[in-house]
Amino acid sequence: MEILQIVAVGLTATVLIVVVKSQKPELAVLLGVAAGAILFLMVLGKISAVMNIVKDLAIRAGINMVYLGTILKIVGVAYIAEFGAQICRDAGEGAIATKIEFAAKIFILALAMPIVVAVLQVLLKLVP
Amino acid sequence: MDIIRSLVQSLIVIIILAMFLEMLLPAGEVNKYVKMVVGLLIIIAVVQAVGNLTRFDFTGELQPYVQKKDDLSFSAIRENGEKINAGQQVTALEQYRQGLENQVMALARVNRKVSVVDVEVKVQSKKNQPEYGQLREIVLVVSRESGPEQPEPENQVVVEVEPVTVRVDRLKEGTLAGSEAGPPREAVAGLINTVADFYNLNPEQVRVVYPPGT
Repeated sequence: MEILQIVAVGLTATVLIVVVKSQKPELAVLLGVAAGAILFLMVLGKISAVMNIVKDLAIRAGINMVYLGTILKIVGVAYIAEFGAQICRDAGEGAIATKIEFAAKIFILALAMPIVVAVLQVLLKLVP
Repeated sequence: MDIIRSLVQSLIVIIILAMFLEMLLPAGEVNKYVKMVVGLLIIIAVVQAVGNLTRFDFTGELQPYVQKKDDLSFSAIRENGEKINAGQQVTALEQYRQGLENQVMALARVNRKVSVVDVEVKVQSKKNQPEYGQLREIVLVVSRESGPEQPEPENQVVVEVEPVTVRVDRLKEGTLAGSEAGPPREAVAGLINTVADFYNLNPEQVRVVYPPGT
């Protein structure tokens, strides 16, 4: 039951952060980052299984792997940005968090451009 | 019936994939942006599924996005672009040169007194020169035999041939006066002037050579 380990790590990190925050808030932020990294590494192995299923479904649906790769990159960018933004918010830096999210939006839109152009071309081809 | 079944199967797979992708999305501010992109992907998938049934290739225009290069740095892209540009310039210059050769050949054939067997056109191929692509020289390879004289239409009469005398002893001496003489000098000069005038060249830039071994 890996979920128990994950919950244990999360609760331990939370308790530590609450204790440390009153004495040294800067260390609490670092603890939060470390706890997040540990939790991510614990579920990393499971992500590959999910990715395999998604890839299999995409092949069955006849979706080009380039598009799927772009979507997965976008999902990754979104997760990383959310992770960073949450840490910034926990540290009381809401402005920085907003800027991280803004950067993530720009990256997502830039990555989505080929898909947007592809949709546009497909729709234009449909028009006689 | 099979077509509809195949389409429904594809749509089911696409819907399940969309559901999976929705579950993958993170909760937060960027969620709606990712949702938008996933929606576009679903649109492409559905249109492709319909297009496969109608035998219509909707992905024909998507090659630039499909071809993925390992090295996509700006310098590499610029280097590739310059390489393609240089290759196209060389090809264009070669085609221009060949076109000119054909044109000169056609022009030379107008002169029936001189038989031109080949033409070589030399153009300036150094890119750093201001006269890049300009004509430098035209070499006309002329047969030593005179060109076929076409009789005038009104003079279409059988010309009597003088009696031919074959002298074996003179041939052994190797005096092939007739073939070495080549076409008349006036005809060759006229051809040179015609070609030079046509291409606005100096007559020195138009050379006439005879093929070796004739």
